[in-house]
Amino acid sequence: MFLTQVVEGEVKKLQLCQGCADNMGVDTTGPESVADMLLEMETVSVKTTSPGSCVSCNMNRADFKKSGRLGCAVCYTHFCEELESVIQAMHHSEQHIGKVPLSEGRRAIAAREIAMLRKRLDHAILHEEYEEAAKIRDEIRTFEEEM
Amino acid sequence: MTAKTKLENLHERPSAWVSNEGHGIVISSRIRLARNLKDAPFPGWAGDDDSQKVWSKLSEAIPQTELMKDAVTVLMSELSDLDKQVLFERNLISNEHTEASAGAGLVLQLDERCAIMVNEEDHLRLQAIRPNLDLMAAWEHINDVDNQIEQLVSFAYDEKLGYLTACPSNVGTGMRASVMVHVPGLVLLNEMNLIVKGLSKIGLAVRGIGGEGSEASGNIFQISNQITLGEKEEKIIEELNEIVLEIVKHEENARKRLHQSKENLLLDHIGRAEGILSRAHVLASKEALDLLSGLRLGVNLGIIKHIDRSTVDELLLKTRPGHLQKLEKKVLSTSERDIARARMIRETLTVDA
Repeated sequence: MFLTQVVEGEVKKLQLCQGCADNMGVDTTGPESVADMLLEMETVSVKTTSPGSCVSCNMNRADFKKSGRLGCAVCYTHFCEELESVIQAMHHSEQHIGKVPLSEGRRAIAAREIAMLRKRLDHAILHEEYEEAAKIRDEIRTFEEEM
Repeated sequence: MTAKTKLENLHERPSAWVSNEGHGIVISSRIRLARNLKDAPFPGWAGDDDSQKVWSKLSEAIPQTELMKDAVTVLMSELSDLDKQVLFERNLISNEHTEASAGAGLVLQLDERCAIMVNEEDHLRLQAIRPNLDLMAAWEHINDVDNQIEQLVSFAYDEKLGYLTACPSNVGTGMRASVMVHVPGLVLLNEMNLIVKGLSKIGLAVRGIGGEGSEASGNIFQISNQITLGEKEEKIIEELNEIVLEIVKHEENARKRLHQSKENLLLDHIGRAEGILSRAHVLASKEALDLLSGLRLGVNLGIIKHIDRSTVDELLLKTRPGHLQKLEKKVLSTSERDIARARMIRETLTVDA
């Protein structure tokens, strides 16, 4: 059997016999394809592993699926697992770098700045601009101290 | 005058986006922000009691801000269907908001440059409109209003996901920047379809004049950003601005090409529009819109000289069903509207001639 792993964006393929797989603790009963996996998730979430309704507004997964709208701010924490992929697919991002409410104070502003700098850092490393990357890292540290 | 009477007379006023300045290809620029209160369920999920409470809180807080202190505050349920239709046609409320669920309301600056829907999809939908291409001015305005409201209430916000909205498609900045463009040249040359396809590829949404789900009539399109997470507001606006400037260039180029190689087609298009509009006795809404688009093109190109652009733009608004019935001061059937519409256009065009 083949084990396909995605490690930090790199696809690794290993050929394993059933025995080795068992020794490595690899689950060979798992779904064969992404499609199967998603289909299974669908049935599982409806049948068994539903963690129940949102603790704040009582919305459940089926309600959310039906309307595509969340019930309250806490739903974002409650349904964070499935929302993560939805949001990533919609926005190709998972981190807000825009406006921060004044009431959130310095901490939130520092968090936003760090998020923005991290984005620039990734870009710099990707383009092998190491001097720039070092500068950005220092800036990140300054903000981290503020928090 | 009560808030309600002020809103009942809106149809008599020119809209915030009507202007004779600029090239007229970009009709208006709009920025909309979605915001929610921290401790209340979102409107679509909230019970009537919760929504009433949200309305009480916000209708009290918003007029306390410096920028909205002269605004009119009204519940949708206090307004007639016709008045709601007029607000919708003026882009001040969404179609969904005309249905008036519990606690659904509007806080409106009477110059119409700033409007806040309460209990629409989110607790607050703040918008600023400007004529022409002026997204930054609209952003600065609505950003200030947002800052002032934020000092009085707490918004649902998350360090990672930004402003939390009922629909995950708005999360982050909660901002939709949109621009309304009139591009008859590109449509006449069959080039707009390609542009629309290109725009959707780079993550922009293109819609018709009536907003979500509407068809493009009158060669008018609304172009807006779809991504709201992972970019700064200013960057989203700058990018949209650049794209719109490109479209303006393409439209200007299309008009030049029409002039040079298809002048008869162009003159015929404009002449027919003017001819039918000045002589017709029955005009359906879509037909009128398409013909007014041709007339507007003629005015912009200087081919039609006896009418100015703001007259055409006001007709675009006043001939829509809600405005028309308000101006006629009675509820009209579709066929009665078509007759009244043709009469209004005829009278306007011949008086100006």
